[in-house]
Amino acid sequence: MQVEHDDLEDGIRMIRLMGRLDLEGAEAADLKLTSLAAVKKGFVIVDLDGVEFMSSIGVSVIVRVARALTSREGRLVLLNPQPNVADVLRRTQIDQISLVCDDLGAARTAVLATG
Amino acid sequence: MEPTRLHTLETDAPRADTSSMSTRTFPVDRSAPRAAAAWFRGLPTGLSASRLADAELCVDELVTNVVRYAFTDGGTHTLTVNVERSPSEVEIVIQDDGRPFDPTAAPLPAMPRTLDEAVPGGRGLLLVRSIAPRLGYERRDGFNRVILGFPLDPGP
Repeated sequence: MQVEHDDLEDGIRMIRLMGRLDLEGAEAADLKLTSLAAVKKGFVIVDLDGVEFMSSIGVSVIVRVARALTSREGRLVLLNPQPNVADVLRRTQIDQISLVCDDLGAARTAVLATG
Repeated sequence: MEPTRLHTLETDAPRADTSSMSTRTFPVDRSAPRAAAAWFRGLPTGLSASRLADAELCVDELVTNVVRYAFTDGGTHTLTVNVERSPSEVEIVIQDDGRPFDPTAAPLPAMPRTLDEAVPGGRGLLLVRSIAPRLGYERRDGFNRVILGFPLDPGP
């Protein structure tokens, strides 16, 4: 599991996950993702385009990071999941409580929105 | 001997002309879910791409459950995955000798309305029970046997 990041304008941090977000992948990514998401303004976009597979363990990692961000008035937006990953987010209803966007422009707008 | 219990979410599943396709035993460790999913994905099951992806996710989730929760003694254990194919269905049986656990009857987490309500875990069974067209469980001779059935049709 690879975890990379870029800092965009407006204090947004984009974190890219690549690989398989199963038990091994989640264990490998958890600490790094949590650390990278602890950005000052709390505006985080997680790019899921490179995630080929996500199990419930991966969902748990996403939820834990999103909760940590909202607890300090930040926000996590998910970007561009593959269809099978989007299906997991839909079945677990995470797409109802954490925004999922299909393009970067929408994700940037969403992560900066208040409320 | 413990009583055999069989629960299924689909009562009229086809079982005729079933033949064993392959069986593989995996060590119960953190590598098992990925190894079992990869092995299953490589079998000539004949499942459609969407059914295969669903089945792979179920195998991953159920094997992950065994790895995380079935054993508390710290010892070395194995689990076995058996795949059979009938003219109409691929059946997957995941067997372990851990503590009794029925994934068809275990309570599911409440659906969260906000992130505050979202607990980090507990979604694996939700996924399996929402995806698997046929899901059964029996405790037989000290083993948990979880049975999945996926039709050999184009799928949803």
